[in-house]
Amino acid sequence: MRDGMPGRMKVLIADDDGPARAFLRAALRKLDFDSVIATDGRDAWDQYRSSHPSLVLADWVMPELSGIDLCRMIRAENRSRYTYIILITALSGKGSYLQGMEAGADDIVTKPFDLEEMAAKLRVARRILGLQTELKQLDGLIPVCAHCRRIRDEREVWSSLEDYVTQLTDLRLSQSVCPTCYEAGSGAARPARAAS
Amino acid sequence: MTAAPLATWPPPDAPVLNLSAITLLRELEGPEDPELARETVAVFLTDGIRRIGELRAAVSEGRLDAARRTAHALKGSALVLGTVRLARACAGLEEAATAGQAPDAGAWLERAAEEFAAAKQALVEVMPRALA
Repeated sequence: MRDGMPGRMKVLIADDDGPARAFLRAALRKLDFDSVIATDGRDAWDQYRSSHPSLVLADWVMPELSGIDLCRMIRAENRSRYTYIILITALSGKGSYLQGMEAGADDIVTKPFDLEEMAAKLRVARRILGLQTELKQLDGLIPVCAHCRRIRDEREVWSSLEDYVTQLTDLRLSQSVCPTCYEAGSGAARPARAAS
Repeated sequence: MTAAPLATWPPPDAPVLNLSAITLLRELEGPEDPELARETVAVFLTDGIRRIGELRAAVSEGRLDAARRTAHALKGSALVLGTVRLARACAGLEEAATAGQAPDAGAWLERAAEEFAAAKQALVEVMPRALA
């Protein structure tokens, strides 16, 4: 996890209601999560940007910025690490559930809170965030030839680093020489080039 | 946001105080939150007195949007503390304010004020030091 203590996931609690914040903070502590607290939507956005929580637990209705707006802003940021978002509502109907999902929420909890339900939802969140991390790590394993440094793509075709990057992204590699190669080039590389 | 119809939640015969909410808060107490239940009830009562005052002002001045927001906030608090009848009255006020029905909002406000007084009494009975 990207958070302070290993194994303890950081959760941003965003709720303008004092009793709700007190309950959630204590419940998360009991369930072995770290938490940071925001008291309205704008505060939540600032805390999200500064503390990089893995999970956001946000009240649907808050002053300054609603939970739905916060959700959309977090999704629009498109961070490389996924943020799991659970919206909190008091009295939920199917309409609100769908609206929350469309805004980018992953789940919804309703007041009054139920500790077992909360624990179950947080367990799912932890599992999904763990899978995301594993996928990222698998993505990071690129087969490289130990000799010529060519890279094998998913079609089993070996190509140069330059071609590989160009195929996968819009990036173009600019040509340059690093200081180490520049130094080396003044010895072995230059005569070879001169000989050709 | 689509609220569940009042007719189905919370039930009209709901208790003034659902003690399981207080029990849960007590269960969550630990070395870092030794008085979680008492402190949460104290915050609820202080906020609640202020919010009932804000609701009275908003409804009497016809500021139904402000009344809707405050009723929603008090409803959320009431649900966390298990004061279910107060939550129901707040939901009624919220619906009436959303619909722009000032007379209904006024009637629900009176219900909310009565239920808040009942909730306060019930909470202080189980948590005598909440007002300390």
